[in-house]
Amino acid sequence: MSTATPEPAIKSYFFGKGYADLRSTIVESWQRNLASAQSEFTQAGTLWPGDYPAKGLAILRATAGTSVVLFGTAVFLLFSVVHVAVLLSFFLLIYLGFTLVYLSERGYLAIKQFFTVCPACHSKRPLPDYFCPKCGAVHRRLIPSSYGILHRTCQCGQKLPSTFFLKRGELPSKCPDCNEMLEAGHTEARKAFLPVFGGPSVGKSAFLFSAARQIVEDEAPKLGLQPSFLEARTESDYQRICQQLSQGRTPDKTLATLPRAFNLKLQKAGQSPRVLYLYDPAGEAFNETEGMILHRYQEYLSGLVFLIDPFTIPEVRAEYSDRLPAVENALSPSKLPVEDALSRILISLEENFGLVRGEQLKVPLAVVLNKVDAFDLEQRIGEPAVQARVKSSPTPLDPEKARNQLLREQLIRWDLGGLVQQIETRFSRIRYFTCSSLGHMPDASGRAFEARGVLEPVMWILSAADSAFAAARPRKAA
Amino acid sequence: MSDADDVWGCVGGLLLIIVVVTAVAIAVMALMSVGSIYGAGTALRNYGLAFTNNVKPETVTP
Repeated sequence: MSTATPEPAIKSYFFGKGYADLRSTIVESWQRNLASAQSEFTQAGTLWPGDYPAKGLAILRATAGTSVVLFGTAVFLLFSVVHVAVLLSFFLLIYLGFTLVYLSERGYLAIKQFFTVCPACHSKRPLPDYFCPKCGAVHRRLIPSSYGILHRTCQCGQKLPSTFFLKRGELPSKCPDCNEMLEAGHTEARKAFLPVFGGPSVGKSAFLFSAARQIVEDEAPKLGLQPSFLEARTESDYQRICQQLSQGRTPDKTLATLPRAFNLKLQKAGQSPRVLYLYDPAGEAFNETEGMILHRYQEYLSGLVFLIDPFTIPEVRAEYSDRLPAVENALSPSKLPVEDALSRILISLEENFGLVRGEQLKVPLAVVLNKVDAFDLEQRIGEPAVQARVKSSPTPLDPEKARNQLLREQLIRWDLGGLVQQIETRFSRIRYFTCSSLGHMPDASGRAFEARGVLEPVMWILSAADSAFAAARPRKAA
Repeated sequence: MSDADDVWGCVGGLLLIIVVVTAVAIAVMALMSVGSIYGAGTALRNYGLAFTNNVKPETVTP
């Protein structure tokens, strides 16, 4: 509540200037008293040698001089006590006032789960830095404080709201760490943070943008949510990649190993907005654990999507070795072994983000096998295989369980038992999915890519993080 | 002149002295009282002037 560093604002009179004024008043009144007394004594001295009336006046003056000193002391003592009492009363009233408003605001923001997350440097803070809209001064702690309970006055004279309740979020703001300009939704919205992890070329960008597209076009309207973009740059990226996908072109390769969050705002009428932070780090980030240290979103994950390219797995490559060379370029298999990609995420979480070695992560993990449109993978591990397993089960079997069993067993058959064990040891909530983030293998036909199965893992994680995303969702065939 | 006349003369003189001294004392006390009230008023005015000169809300620097 108290501000450690001075703010470019006028402090409440009762927290600073009031006491300086009291001191100045005492000093000046004493100077005046001494000057008055000195004047009286001088006049008394001048009058005393004269006749009796003059002597009488001299007595009057001398008494007045003495009285100024004596009464002056009494007056300054009495008035100073009253002055201090008034100052302290207002000090306490204001302190109580801003403490109550501050605690109410903190409580409200905590209940609403509002805090600031920078989409660029990923730092998490209670509040951003706010700008004065008139002079541009940066207010680092625009909260109810000694600068004002509900409002504060900037040094330029502009009145600024100092609480969430008075639309502080409408002020321009920036990240305190990297100075990136922020939108209101980066603070005043409930957030979900979802990175798509995986080695290079596993199809993370296509997965992320296809999922975002399906949320915008399909899922959000179903949930009664109005989608919008926080930033023009995000919207233009989204439009560009959607256009590429519609034209049968794969998204441009992600170059930034430290990704900027893709923010999608979803709002239901009468409810707080939700903002998704979707992260698409370049696969090269997973080549070295050191590269992950700046991925600070790992501190506050809502869940993880771990994307696997089946054609990274030697056993799969061996199974399709006769047909693979012909489509090698189109499939563009990832080079980073699946186990290595997962290990680097876990090592990064352990070394940089407080995960205790051997401890289980509480956030949900969606293990997603991509590129199932290739060859007969759809029939072997996709929805047809899941449905077949459900039908053949002697006891009633939930499709989710059937899918988990099927994919887990398949990964073990592909000699990824170590990976499965690592996943099950380190994560408490796991689900296996299949998807095709493009819908078909890239070719020269220009046929639009239509992703399948990308929404389910994302919505599973989002619905675990926020009930606004929870809805009964029938599984579509991937 | 009898002895009685001398006694009355002394008493009268003494009374006169007492009256004069008392009158002077009263006059001095009156002057001192007025002086004290004047001094107290001056002290009060000095505090008031100091208060109005110094106690002002913080102004915005243009």
